[in-house]
Amino acid sequence: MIEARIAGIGLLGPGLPDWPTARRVLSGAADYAPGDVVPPVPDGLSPRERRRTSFAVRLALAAAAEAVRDAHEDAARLPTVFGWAHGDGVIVQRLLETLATPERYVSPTDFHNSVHNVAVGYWAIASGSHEPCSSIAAAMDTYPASLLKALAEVHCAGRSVLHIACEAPFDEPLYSACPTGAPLALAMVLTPPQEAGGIARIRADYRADGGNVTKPATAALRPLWELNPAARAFPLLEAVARACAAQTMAIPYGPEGRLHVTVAPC
Amino acid sequence: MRPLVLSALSTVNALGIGLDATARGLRENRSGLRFCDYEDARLDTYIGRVDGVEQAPIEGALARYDCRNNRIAQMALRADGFADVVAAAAGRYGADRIALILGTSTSGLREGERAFARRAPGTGALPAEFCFTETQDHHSLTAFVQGYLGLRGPAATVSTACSSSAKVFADAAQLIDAGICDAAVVGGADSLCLLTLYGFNSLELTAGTPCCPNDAARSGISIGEAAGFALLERAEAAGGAVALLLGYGESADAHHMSAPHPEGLGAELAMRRALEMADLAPGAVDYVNEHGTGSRQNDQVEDAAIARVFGDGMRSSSTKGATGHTLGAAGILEVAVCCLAMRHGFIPGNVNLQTLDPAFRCRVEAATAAGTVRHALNNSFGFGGSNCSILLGSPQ
Repeated sequence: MIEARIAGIGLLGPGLPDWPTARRVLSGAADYAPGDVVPPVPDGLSPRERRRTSFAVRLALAAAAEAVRDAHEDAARLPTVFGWAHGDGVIVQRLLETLATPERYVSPTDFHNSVHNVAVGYWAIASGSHEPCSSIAAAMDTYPASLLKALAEVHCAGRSVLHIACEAPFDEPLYSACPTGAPLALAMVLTPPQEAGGIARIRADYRADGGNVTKPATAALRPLWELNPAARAFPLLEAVARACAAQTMAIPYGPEGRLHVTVAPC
Repeated sequence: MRPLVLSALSTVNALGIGLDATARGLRENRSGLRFCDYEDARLDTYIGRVDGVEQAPIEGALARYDCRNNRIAQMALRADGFADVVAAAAGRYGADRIALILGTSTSGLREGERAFARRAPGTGALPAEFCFTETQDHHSLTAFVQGYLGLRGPAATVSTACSSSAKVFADAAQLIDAGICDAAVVGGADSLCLLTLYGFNSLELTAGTPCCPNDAARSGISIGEAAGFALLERAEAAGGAVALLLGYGESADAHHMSAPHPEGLGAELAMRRALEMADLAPGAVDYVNEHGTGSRQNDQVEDAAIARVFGDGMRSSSTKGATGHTLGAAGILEVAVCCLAMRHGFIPGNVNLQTLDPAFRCRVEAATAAGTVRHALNNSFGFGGSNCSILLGSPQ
């Protein structure tokens, strides 16, 4: 079992332009209304690098930046764990289309932006962080897999870690092969349990007990929870947003595996 | 950190199938590179291709996972009795107490390439038999291995380009330390595909000759393919030990997506952090297996960083002239090279080296030489400025 505190949160999704808006929806104080996702141009990059950042990278970096601001942390000091199942799928598809042409003229920029750790690479450049950074995939279980990695790093290193979960849909035809719904990114700064302050306490353990899975209480968010791996965070964020008594949930992780998470107010 | 034991190890690479074939290839200083004969790739480059992949399909309950990357992984699971050791460990700990953390950069992307070459005229739809989740998806490798080994612990895929299967050691060590699991299967696989061949070619990073890392005339990389696995356990619980994991060091360059930091800042940080975690002085390390891709810039920056950490004349080599650059599998392959060096008492040669770059400060020999290796460091650096150093110790 691992304990930590949530010190800051960022979120950007359809109709959810930031964490304060999302918190009202997730706590039941406001109705959910889907809308477009317009990620801002990231700070801290050179004009050339800024041009090279795609929608998916901007989405991830926006949530990361909001969480770091919310936690009053210095991004350069934080190890980073990115969870996204498919990396930048739009670029991957463009490369697959190019490789199916007789000439196979691969764009060098597309190629280096096709690595799964593209977002963490740009985040490190933008934040000037030389701290450990990782990029984790586990298909539909990417959220619990990357959250568990981030929590284990908090535990071992005894320091705060930035966890980001992001997923932006493929275009067709890959979308039909792997539908992920709408774009969504969320981020949390996780700190060691003994540190003061924070938004909530969190406790997590893995068990392969095949028990009942916790779905989001906000019915309007369930379709996204079904499709988008990052949306598997919704029950956890609902518990944070409702900020009442301790609440325990089971996040599906593998055929029988569950990440059991308890969220309690600070 | 408290040292962990690598109690089982396996590898498949261009030198051969299994640890013995790999050790023999290293001792004979053999290059496994050949002129590119992969599919219909029309590129003047050399590759480190694994023989026999075409004849080793995935069958039975996991047949939907059949693709080149998972085939190479299956070959490595069958090599060196690896799957049997894991089965015994699962009996001891419980299959739910063994984590599975694997690294890959392109997973089964080759199946996506094949699907896009066969799109339906008119609609552009992909062929119905294309199994995205079981092949192209990054996690396909880990899901396949999880099914093959019957493991039920937490499973994750690390995909940080060419440092992927080095960083898995860090993640597994953290999960064991946090008590989430008692043991972990780590490793990775990356296999030839058009994307990496044409992609590195587009960046003008592939050599027209077999790659010759550290050579004054080096002109780029040769892409290879490999798979490998290790079982990590706490020292007191493990039966036998191939090697000890003493420390790991991770860092980010925060510089550029595809070029290393010009002063090797991230590389140096990774090596220093691994030494610090192991509480070892630089002088205790007998051998550094370099990332040593054969690109002009990587080798120069890495040599300088090693010299800053270990001083001039550090015994180092790149084995990518033997195996090719196996990208996301480089970490686990070269950890295996370090383990073989410690076990058999040799310093791996730097295959294809003719004239060491005169500016270099490390001691790099072309030929494999006898020598005691008590501590070895492996470097793996990837696109996105993702660096990882793994510090290993001999169990004796």
